[in-house]
Parts: sequence; structure tokens; C-alpha cells
Amino acid sequence: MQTVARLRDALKRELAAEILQRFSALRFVAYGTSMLPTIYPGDCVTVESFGSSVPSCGDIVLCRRGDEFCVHRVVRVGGERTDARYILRGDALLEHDPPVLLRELLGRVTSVLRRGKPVNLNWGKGIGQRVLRSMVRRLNVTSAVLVGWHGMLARESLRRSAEKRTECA
Amino acid sequence: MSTAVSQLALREPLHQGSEELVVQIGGIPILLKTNNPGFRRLIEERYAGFLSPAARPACRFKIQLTSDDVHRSDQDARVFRIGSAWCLERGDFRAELDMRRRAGWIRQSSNPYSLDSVLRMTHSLLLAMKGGFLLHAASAVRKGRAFLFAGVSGAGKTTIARLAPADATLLTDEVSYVRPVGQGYEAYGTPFAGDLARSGANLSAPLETVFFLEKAHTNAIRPISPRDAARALLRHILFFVEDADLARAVFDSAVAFVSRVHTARLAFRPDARIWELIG
Repeated sequence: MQTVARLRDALKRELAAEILQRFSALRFVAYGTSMLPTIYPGDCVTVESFGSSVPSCGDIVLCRRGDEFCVHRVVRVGGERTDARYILRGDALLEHDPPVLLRELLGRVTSVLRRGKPVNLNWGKGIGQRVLRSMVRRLNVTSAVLVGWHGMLARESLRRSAEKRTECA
Repeated sequence: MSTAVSQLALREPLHQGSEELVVQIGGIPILLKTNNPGFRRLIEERYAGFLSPAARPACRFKIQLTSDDVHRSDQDARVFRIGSAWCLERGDFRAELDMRRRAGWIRQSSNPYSLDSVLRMTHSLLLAMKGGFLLHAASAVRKGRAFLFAGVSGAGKTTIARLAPADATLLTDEVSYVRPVGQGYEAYGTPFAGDLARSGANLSAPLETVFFLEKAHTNAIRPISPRDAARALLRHILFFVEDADLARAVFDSAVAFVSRVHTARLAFRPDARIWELIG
């Protein structure tokens, strides 16, 4: 069963990369908590290929390392365009990822929808945002509380949609 | 016929007075009701080996014939869901199947190809829910084992079916029918014919190998990685449904399939000796 799951995941990633290359855009549902509080599990993420532009600090990017994919934020860029090294980090993480090359970056996250509504992808500069980010990075319990709270809201939203559909019917 | 191969339905066409006919493909009976005697005869002839009056239908369709000249079959087919009803449409037909009642209707011209398409779409829908699929592939049974030959149009499906030895039974030269049974998969015959213009035999057998066809100057069986096999399989699965859950189910089924069934590339030239390699 583990082999089947591995094959399925590898194939999904391979096809996702091809879709992005061929159609310049890819949409998928996020999982994982490394980008809290910007991206929650279950958010609908749209990634677009870079085209003629290059990623810069603050961009959230889709990165491929071997068979693994991750969506993290660019926190530093070193070197020139062709051999530039990009340092990425999840918003919820304290540690940076190992540096990657431009060719390992598949595209830029251009929109995130949460319960059908767009999410602001920029780092919030307000004191509240800073405190929340700091808490998420330092206290695992904060992530758990946020995910639990978000899940509760998502379930409530689904329940309301179902009620609306029933009323319409 | 080998003991491993099961006969599924009566070979003789029905000659009863009823407006209803049950067409059983892949072990899934579908009841078709028409009040047009000419069209009923046409169904009897077209699905002669696949009529199964005693079978309990998995779903039923009432066919309403419309005028021939307003429909086009060159439009893209669509299958989508509205509530519990699945809508199937193309230029030459419209159909609806309510999954709660397991009943629906078909509006089409008297062209039998339209009914073929509705049946294919319905089966692809029902199969997707059961871990199976229809595959753009020829298939044949030999020594109680089924072999599939997948390829795009012109890849050689009909050729390899035509070259099959006398002891092989053709299941189809165009659309193969695959369902999980126990720990393995079973291939079923279908009435859906390609260039051979011949209905397949209505029988089933455990699936041994899926070959992905490649034209070559010499005959050879080449290995294929599970990842490439899954990709090739996905390319050949007939799936028309606009539904994320079902698309996910078919994707998962394809991955599970290549993990459990032997797959290989088959490089071949139009030569009957290819069957010595196949088995």
C-alpha cells in the first residue's frame, strides 16, 4: 500500500509540474501547516509560472526538490539572475530551507482562496500579525489552535452552504 | 473455451414482445426501453451477444427518438452532475441518469452509434465508482488469460486483433472493459468495435498483462516503469466526467491498477509471430 501511495504522490507532482509548464497556471488544495498563518490546510492555492519575471523577496513560490514539492516564501536572494540562489522559509518555521536555484522554482502563488474568499498573501506588518507569526513559529500549540479554529469555521461554512442548497431545492 | 473464462450472457437475440431490453456489458446490466419496434430490432442486432433478459438491471433508460437531421456527433461529449442526476450530452444525444432512482432517459436520433456512446459513458461512470475503467485498447483471451493492447488510433490495436491466433478469443479491438475482482482485475468483452467492425465475445477472464503498443521493425517486449505505465494508462482511459471526486477516483484506480497488473511496452511489426511473444 505504501508503494501505491508513493507512486500516486510522485505521479501527481509530475503531472502538476507539467500542467504548470504547459498551461502556465495550476490550482490545488494546500495541506500542511508550514505556511501558517498565511496559508491553511484546505486553502485553494493558484500558482502561475514566472514567465519573463523572476521571483523576489516576499513572493510565495512553489518549489520542487527531487520528488518533493513545497510552497514557501522567498526570504533572501543571492547572486545574479542565472545562478541566483533563493533562500525560502515557511511562514510558520524558524529555520530557512537549503538554498535553491531558479530552475527548482516552478511558479509564484498568485492567489489563495479560503472558503471562497481571497486571502492577503503579503506579510502583515501590524503588531498583531507579527505577534501571531512569532507565536506560530515558537509554540506548536498555536498552530494546532489555529488549524482547529480554521477547521471549525470551514465546517460551519459547509453547513451553511448545504442549508442554502436545501432551501433553494 | 478455458474453464477460467466465464460466459456471461445468452448468445441468441431475444424475440419477445416487450418494449424493454437488458444489455449486459462487463457484468453490469442496463435496461433500455423503446416503443419503436424498428429501433428495438436494431438494439437486438447490435448487442446480440450481450442481451441478458434475466439480469436485474443496475439502471434503466427510456429512449425517446428524435428527428435525425438536427443532431451532430462531432461535438465534444460532456458528462456532468446536477444534484443526484448525471447529465450526458453530445450534439447527437442528451441523456440523464438519476443515481438515486437508478433511472433516466435518452433523447437521440435512431443512429445506433449514439446509443453506443451513451452506454460507454454510462459504463465509464459506473465503473469509476467501482475502481474499474474503459480503456482505448484491444483485448483478447488466450489460455484463460486476458491481454490488453492499448494505443491511440493507428497504433495497431486492430492489426494485433486481426493477427490473433485461432485459439485466442477477441474481447474487442477498440474499447476494453476492466474491473477489479478479488485481488486482481478481470477483462470483459464489449460490443464496441473499431476498424474490425466485429463485436467482441461476451466473456471475461483474469487480466494477465497490459501492453502499450509501439510500431517497430522488430518484435520485442520492453519493460515499463510503474510511473510511465500509469501515465500511459491515464492517456488511454475513456473518461468524460466533469467531477473532481470521480476524476480522483479514476486517477487512484489507474495507480492501483499498475501496481497490481503486469504492464509492458510491445514493439511490433504487423506479423503473426508477435503472438509467440505475447503468450
